[in-house]
Amino acid sequence: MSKAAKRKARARQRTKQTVRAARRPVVPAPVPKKVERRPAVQAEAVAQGPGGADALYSLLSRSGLPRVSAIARRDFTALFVSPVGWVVAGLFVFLVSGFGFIATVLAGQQATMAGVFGVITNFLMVVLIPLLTMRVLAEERAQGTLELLLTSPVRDWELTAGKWVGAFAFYVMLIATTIVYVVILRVYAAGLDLGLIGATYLGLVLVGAAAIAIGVLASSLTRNQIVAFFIAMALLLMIWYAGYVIGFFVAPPANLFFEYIGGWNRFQAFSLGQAALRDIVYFVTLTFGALFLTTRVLASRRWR
Amino acid sequence: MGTGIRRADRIRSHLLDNLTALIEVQGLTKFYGERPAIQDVTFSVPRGQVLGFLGPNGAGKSTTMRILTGFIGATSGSASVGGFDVFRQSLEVRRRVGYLPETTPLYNEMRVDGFLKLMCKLRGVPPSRRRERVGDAIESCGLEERRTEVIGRLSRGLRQRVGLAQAIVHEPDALILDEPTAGLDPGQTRETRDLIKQLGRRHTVILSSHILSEVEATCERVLIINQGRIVADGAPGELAHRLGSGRRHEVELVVRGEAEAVEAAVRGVAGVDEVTVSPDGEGAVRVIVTTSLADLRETLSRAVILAGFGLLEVQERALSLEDVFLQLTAAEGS
Repeated sequence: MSKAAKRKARARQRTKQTVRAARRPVVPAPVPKKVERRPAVQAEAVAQGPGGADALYSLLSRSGLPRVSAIARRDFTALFVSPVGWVVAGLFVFLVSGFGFIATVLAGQQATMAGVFGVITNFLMVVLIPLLTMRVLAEERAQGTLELLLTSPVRDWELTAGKWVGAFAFYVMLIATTIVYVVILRVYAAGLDLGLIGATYLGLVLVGAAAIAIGVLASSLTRNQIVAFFIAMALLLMIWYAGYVIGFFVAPPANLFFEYIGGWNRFQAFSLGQAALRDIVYFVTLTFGALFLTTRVLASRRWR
Repeated sequence: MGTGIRRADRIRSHLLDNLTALIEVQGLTKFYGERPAIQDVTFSVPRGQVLGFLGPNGAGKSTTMRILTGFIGATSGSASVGGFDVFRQSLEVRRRVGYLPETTPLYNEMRVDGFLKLMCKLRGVPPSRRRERVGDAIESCGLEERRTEVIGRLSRGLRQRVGLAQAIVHEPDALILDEPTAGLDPGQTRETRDLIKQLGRRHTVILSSHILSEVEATCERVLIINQGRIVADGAPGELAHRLGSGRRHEVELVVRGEAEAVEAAVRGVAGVDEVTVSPDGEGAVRVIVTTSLADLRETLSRAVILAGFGLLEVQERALSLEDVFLQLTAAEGS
């Protein structure tokens, strides 16, 4: 910038400041002294704004949704900028096509989605989801940006929900790519049970939601991403297989209990084409439980 | 409907704002385990003031700031910003505070304007005002030419400006800046200081620093904090003065004449306790006189002139803020 331009810019700024200074006493910023007075002030702000959009915004703002979506969008796009997102997506596509489709359908000559779903449930759940979620809060903690978020008027649950939605959207996008194989099978093979496939997709979405919530919880516990990855993987392996494994060794009737609470067994129903309410409730509860614990971890900074 | 009442409310709250302090801290104490980070910290900041928080590393500056911004809790005591309790009405406080943490955390993969827009969303700036607010913050911090650059590729000084821009983007009442010039080179330090001075005209500012000259240059008022306690509070000059009185004064004279004769003349003045004489240039001597009386400059110069010597210079040696700081922290430490 030339000297003259700089001078001009400074002059512009000066006039701006004086205008602001002159305006200030005429319209004093109404800082409410009590919480009860808040609605009136907000209504006033709405009246001053250019109408509909802001009115809608102030309504939405109270629900916290704009902040959840802002955080989710930032996380979602960050996955495309960082190598982690591409690694996860690349591995996913490679494994699903290689083992799930080429090996079972083309080499094995079976018109089934079982291979694709098998790869997702066996590998995606316990390895790729921890990779996806390990950075969400651990990185923010390590870089200090968590301080920026938590000193903004963002509630703990809004931050947690935003983080979860961002990773979940990425997961749903990955799962959605496998619909290509359903279409291919549908075109070339006549006898495809779409109801069964639909139920399995529902199951995958629910399982993913729970796994991502657990990953977010693991990420909130540490500032080290590697540690977050292993915590998440350990928790997921435990929830996913422990019931099954323990149930296998324990004598009946106690084995029924362990088999009942294991995630793997709960998912089996979906892959058999049953969308039972008790299994839906199981995964939804896991999701909300893990997210609730995450908000408690975030809140712990206040009394630690 | 109800506009009359609303206007009365508004005028009253405006008056209240001018009468009461914007930031009020009362007996704040925070323990990390057994170790106290701050103890019984009490102060208040009126609207529009630029307050410097001065202390060595680990004195409790960051802790106090983190409590004020609602990032961590306190063990006991209370704090409020704009009349809102920091602990019970945290969201209201956070809406009114702009904060720059010590490490200047930013999202490195984002562009400057995208990042500021995100901060607008998080701090509840309505959609219709976002563009204006982002533009304003960018202009205030001199980032016009870096608007679309990726934050990770910016220099340390420019990152600091982005950090300041995010702190002011939602037009907060109070700005809390934790060591805003730490880790900058001298040019960047000066730039950042000038920027803070400029922001100080529009906002109430609390900034922390362990560098004295910085606080002296930018702040109207200084709180010196050491080992978690406030040890001094006042304007930079006033603080130095207050500590100076009650202790010894020093007057420095440069006199043309012979050393021993000058010393004899100076010693003759009533109230002089100590005299040190050292040669200073050709035929002149530098005399440092210590006295317990307030100001002996006039009496001393008269005595020197009456004795027939040439008086070249006379000045009172004021304690600099640095002396004050060292005295206070040394006293605390021992």
